[in-house]
Amino acid sequence: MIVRPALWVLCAALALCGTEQAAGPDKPASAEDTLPLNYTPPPDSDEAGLWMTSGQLERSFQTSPLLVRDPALNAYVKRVVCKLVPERCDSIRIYILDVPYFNAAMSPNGTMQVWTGLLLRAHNEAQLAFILGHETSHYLLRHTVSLWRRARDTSGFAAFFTIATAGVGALATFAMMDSLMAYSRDEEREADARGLELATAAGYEPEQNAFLWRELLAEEKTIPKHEGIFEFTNNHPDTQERMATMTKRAGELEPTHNDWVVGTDDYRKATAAFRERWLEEDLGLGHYDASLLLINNLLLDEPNSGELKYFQGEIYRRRNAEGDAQKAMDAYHVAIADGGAPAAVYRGLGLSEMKAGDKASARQAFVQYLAAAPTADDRAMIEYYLSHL
Amino acid sequence: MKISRVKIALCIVLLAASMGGCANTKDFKAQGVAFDWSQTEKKVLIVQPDLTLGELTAGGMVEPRADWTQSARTYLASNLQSFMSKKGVATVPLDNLTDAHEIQLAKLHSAVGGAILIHAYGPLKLPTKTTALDWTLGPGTQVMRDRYGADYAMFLYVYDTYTSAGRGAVIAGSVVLCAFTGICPAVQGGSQVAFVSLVDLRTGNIVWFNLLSSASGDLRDDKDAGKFVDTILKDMPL
Repeated sequence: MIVRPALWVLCAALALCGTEQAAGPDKPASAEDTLPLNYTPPPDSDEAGLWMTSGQLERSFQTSPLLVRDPALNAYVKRVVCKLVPERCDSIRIYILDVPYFNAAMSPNGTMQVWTGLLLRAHNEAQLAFILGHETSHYLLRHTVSLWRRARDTSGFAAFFTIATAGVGALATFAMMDSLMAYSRDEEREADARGLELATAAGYEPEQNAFLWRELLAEEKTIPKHEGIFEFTNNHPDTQERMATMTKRAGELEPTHNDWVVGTDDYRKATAAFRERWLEEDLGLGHYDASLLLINNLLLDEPNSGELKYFQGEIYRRRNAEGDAQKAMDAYHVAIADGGAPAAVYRGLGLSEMKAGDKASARQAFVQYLAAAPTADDRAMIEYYLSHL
Repeated sequence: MKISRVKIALCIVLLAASMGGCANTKDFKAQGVAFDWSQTEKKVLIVQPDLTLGELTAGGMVEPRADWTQSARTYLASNLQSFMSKKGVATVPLDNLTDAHEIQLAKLHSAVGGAILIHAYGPLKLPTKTTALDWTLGPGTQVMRDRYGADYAMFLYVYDTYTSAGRGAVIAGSVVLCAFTGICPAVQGGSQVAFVSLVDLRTGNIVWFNLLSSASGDLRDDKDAGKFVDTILKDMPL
């Protein structure tokens, strides 16, 4: 989920949802704008109020059922942040939340949310590093505070204006909101510039930044706008321009080193144990076209992954568009041949064969499923099918 | 996570508006409530209040204030303690909630309190719940009783905003506009809304509940915090 901050007062108050991304040649923020080390805001300041609210949010993360507590995964993500900003390693607290959308967000007090939908979509450590670098930059540059002050002051002006013009001000209010968004886009650009600096200084390959964003925008296009999952649409006037700038910037930086870090193996090792669950959750959203793009993107890196092939089959089977039934069966067969697919691949195959009317093949697949997963939750259902085949 | 908080605040603001001007309270008791103390020393656990103080800006946004919230926390704690001791009840403060189960109970209270506001105070009456208070946090509260040795716990929710100079100017402007043109935009000033529950920790049942709404009162001041406590706990059947 890509949330446009200025539209969401709540978001403004709590966290900058910084996945709205752009790389611009904008001037990097100067050193004096940067949050001092071990900083605590003066108690009577608006900033302290924002930190207090962030603290409430942070406490709710600590007891949230969505919190992913796995120590190894947490240590891995933290290690990437620490590579980017070693001196802030202890001031940034990471909360991995089991939410199947693409997002990361940073609160002004140093609370960073990383959603599992993001971890699922990144291909390697470098891509993760660019996003975390962007988020960290919002924190370093205290963007929530500037965003809050602007929203407060602009909405104050809007209220005066509405009174002064006795209701005629409604349009002006809209215009005001637009200017708010324009400012926040500047902040996004600034965070991108600083994020790119941080991640490339840590040695991560700049091309990876643009690569992930191209994939995301393609995926976003497949989801109906009215579902509101991706706030940030392609129709947005300067998205294409930003994409172009980002690609250009990556192209400029790329030749400056020849030993860029991509970190594919480390990334896979850190996330392998969770991927099946994350893919299952993504599938559960019912955005089959988007899921298919995602799976195909992941298959580019791992063409022989039985796990990914199984999910490809599941997407086809559940989407159930014309020709999908055959595609699903083909994918299940490849998944079984490649190895590494979950036992449910036999269930998928059995359901597909049953639907196609091939009772013998369906029976065989269901029997294999129960043999491979004797304690499956849906055992009773499968046995019922078997009794009718 | 935040949504429910916002919903509660919104609901409270609407209720406060419907209840009108100065400090108003309206309480509910559970049917046939009789306090039952297991020890000669009566003890009530005071769960850290869910408390936010903020400044209502000219545009109507509430800017949370950490310093005000902190002072209010201190003043409320001492005033609650002295109010209860006058009633011959000892208090056990439960500050800095860190235990996951206790945090969940505090959140549950905010959620149940929100439901009480909607269904007992608001227009959405439930056919199964008549005049007496019939709400519970469930027997999960027993853990608190075992841990702190108190038979009852008090949960408090306070949302308190203060009009900034800018907001004051907008209100003044709207009054002038209203006088001259007859167009009267509703511009609200700062307000104080709070609800409190007394919970029997053996059953989790809410035995007494009160809602307070007020356009005056200042929790940043020790004396005013004392008045707030006196007002909201006035009809507590202890």
